[in-house]
Amino acid sequence: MTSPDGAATSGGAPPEVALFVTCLVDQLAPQAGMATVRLLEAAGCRVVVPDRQTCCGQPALNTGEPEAAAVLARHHVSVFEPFETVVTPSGSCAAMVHHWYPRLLASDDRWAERARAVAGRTHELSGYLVDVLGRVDVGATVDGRVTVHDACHGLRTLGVKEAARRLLAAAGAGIDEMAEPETCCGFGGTFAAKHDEISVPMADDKLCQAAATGAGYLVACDSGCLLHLAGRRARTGVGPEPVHVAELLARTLP
Amino acid sequence: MVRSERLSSIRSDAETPDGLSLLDRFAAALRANAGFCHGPFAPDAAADVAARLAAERAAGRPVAVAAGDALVVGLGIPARLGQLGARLLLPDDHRWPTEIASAGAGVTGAVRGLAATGTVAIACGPRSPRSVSLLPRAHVCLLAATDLTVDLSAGLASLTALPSALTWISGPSRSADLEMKITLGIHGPASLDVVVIAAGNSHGTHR
Amino acid sequence: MSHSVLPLAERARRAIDDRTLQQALRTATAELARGSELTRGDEDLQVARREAARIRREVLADLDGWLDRLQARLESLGVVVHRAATPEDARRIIVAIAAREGARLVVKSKSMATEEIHLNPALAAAGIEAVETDLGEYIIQLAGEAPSHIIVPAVHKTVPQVAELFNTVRADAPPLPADDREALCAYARQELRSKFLAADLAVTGANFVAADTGTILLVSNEGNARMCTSLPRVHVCLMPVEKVIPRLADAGVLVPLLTQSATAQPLTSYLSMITGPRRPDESDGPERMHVVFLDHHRRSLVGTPYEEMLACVRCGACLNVCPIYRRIGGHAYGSTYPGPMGAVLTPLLSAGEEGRDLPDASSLCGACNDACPVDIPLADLLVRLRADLRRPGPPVDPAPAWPTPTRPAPPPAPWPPPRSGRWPRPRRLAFGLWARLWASPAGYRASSRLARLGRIVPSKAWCRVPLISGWAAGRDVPLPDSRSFHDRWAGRSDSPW
Repeated sequence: MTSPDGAATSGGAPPEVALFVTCLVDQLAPQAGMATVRLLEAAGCRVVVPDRQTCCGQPALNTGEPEAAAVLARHHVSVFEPFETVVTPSGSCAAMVHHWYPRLLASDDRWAERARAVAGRTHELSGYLVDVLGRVDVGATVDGRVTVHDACHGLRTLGVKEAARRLLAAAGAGIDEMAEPETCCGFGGTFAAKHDEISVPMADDKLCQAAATGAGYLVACDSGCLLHLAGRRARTGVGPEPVHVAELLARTLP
Repeated sequence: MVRSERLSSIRSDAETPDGLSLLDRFAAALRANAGFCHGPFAPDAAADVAARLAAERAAGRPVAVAAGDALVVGLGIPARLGQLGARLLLPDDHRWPTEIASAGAGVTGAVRGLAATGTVAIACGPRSPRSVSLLPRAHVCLLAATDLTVDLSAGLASLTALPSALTWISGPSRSADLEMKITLGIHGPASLDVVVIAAGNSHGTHR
Repeated sequence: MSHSVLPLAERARRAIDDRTLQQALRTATAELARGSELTRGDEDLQVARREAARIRREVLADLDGWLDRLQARLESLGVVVHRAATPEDARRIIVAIAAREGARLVVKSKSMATEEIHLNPALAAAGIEAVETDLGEYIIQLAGEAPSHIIVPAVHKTVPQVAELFNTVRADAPPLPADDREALCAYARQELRSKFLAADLAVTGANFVAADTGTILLVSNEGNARMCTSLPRVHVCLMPVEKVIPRLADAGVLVPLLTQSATAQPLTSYLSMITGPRRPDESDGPERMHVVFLDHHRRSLVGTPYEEMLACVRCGACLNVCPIYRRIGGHAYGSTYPGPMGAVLTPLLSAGEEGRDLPDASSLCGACNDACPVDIPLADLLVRLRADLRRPGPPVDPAPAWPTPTRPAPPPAPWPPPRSGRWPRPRRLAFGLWARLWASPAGYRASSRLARLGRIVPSKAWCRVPLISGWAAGRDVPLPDSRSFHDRWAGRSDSPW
């Protein structure tokens, strides 16, 4: 398909990618979704957006309602299983599909198999660009210095860490690591609202560490984390602008 | 067993890929744990060193001796200590119960040594009370190089009998409970000296 | 003890505002977390982890059988074995042993299990003085507090605070200096030594107990476990049932895994292997030994996804990496076991009576999964508990009482569990309706349009809504964008291809 240096090889149609935009991005951070599309197109993909998609069910699972999560999981599987490749800008939603769908649907062998099939074809955005397409340089140019927050589910379930950094570095960004890039920012879905007394100090820790790097941007691959950090930063003024890796790169695409 | 093979392939019984012998590794690990390793010595010299160490550490207080330990007996430790003028405290001495808790040093033999962790295994037995390596301020321990093995798995596999208390000692007593800084000698001995008897001797327990 | 009646949120707030505690937690957890980092990096320890998993499966396949074999072996050594189904049983048994022995003074080596059963108050009520001998436990006992970390129980105390504590106890004696660790340790050593020598009976836990030899394994750095098992004439070992291991040889794998993970040590200063009481020709060691098997709902976990929790070796690695624990400390959890392992264990061991709020106090980041040396999927178990604790009562069905054997492993239960046919509880109903609404693209789109209408309402009003108010307390509330992604996509021409 593509050689490791990113050049599209022998003829053939550009890879078709189905975008799993996620309900959170759809409703609260649509610009990250548009940026994801621009990035994938710049990398040579043809993006389709299945319009029956809704939500992966993570909020239900994390609130202790696995039955409701299973309903949404079955819907998600049926929406995305016609597609060869599914890409999402959210590490935690990708992790939901990979890790929890087989468990949620374990009581029905057919569904479990279908879920596993979809999981095998679902990728988080940065991992897809770098590790699958081999496309590190998408033509973006990022001026200045950035620091990266490694969102938990992407990091621990999917191994998303180096890919985002390589994309940023290839775009010319200088990367200044904060003291603890892998420590949770405190979002955790419903945890952020149920236990704000813990969640907010965790955001402060993250923003403080980011500020200490002197970087101009705080980059992550998960919009949940970013909304939480941006929301806190709006109150305290501490730390660089939180931004999705797709948005930062897409801003500077020709 | 697959596991032993896997672990042993990294740490062979004789030499390791980086050329360190079991004894070298034992000494390095013990020192890293704030213990002291002396030797290897021929038996006579080992006995001399051990007795002198014990007397010095005891600084005038009694030296307790595990009089039932093979190495202690074989090297004539009580007599050596007597010659040095140390105040000897033996298990069958009527003063033992009152003096053991304030003894300055305790001398034992070890039945095994573990190279990976700088560990000596002390077995209790007749005339070798548990408290010899526990209550005195210092612990001096004799170890035959032939009783050295790689690690805990190998050490356990080599045991032929179990005493009622078998204690694997890897350094002096320590605590980090006060703001995570180490202090030595909280309950057990504050120092551990291991005196190694060179291989090629008839000493040491049978494997 | 200090299990507070305040809600967790309030305890957490206080902990976060306590700057001394915050500093102590930062230092201690960073230091201790090196252990699990080293575990991850060491090839031999990776081999050990797989072995440990195999040993665990072997034990869980026949837990009651292994306990029977262990009991037989212990009895052949002259050890008396008791079985305690509940903490009450365990307390009763131990107090009775102490009373029978005429014990006035009991020394205790560090044992989370004895904390779990709240043994000390029971001994005190029987007029028996019980002294904690682990330095950290001794400190918090003097302070009247509960441990705040399972490895370093006094992690929340500074050296000056300890000096003050000791000086209060010493009353008329010249005060110890506020910053001299050596002096404080020397004082504790001397105090506790007199207790060790005078004690009638010792109570310890166990790190592992080998079924083939009946050997009790205890790790310690201070030597207090050795003191406890060498000097008093009676030794009582409280053994939670999952501590049984098939063979002494298995310790070669399990002990280094534990010590490396707990304190970054290849081995602790001391590893005691105790096989029976003193023998006829020995002059120290206990004359009589008792081992108390403690169930406390552990056996009911076998055959459920929660059985993984029985592999826990109590190393504390999950505490050291947990971003919540590192911020709020152990006391905020209000339970014997804090941190991720405590959030899972507490509702399970108490059959849902305690700790129901603990699984929610997690961002599910998964750092605990990574740190665990025996691969317990703690974050997954927390998610399951959130579901299984929705109904009042225990999250799992209780196992049959001893001496009936545990049920044979049932077929894996479907999860989520099938509909019970009863009218579902309100929250489940609400979520079920929401899921069905959003499983329909039309329903999703309708709620999306509704959300856009919500932009009209001033955000101050939104902040009254329960969950949103929680968010709004410290952060700006993101309102749904005027155009959702799907709106924008629909407005865009098709891909240029």
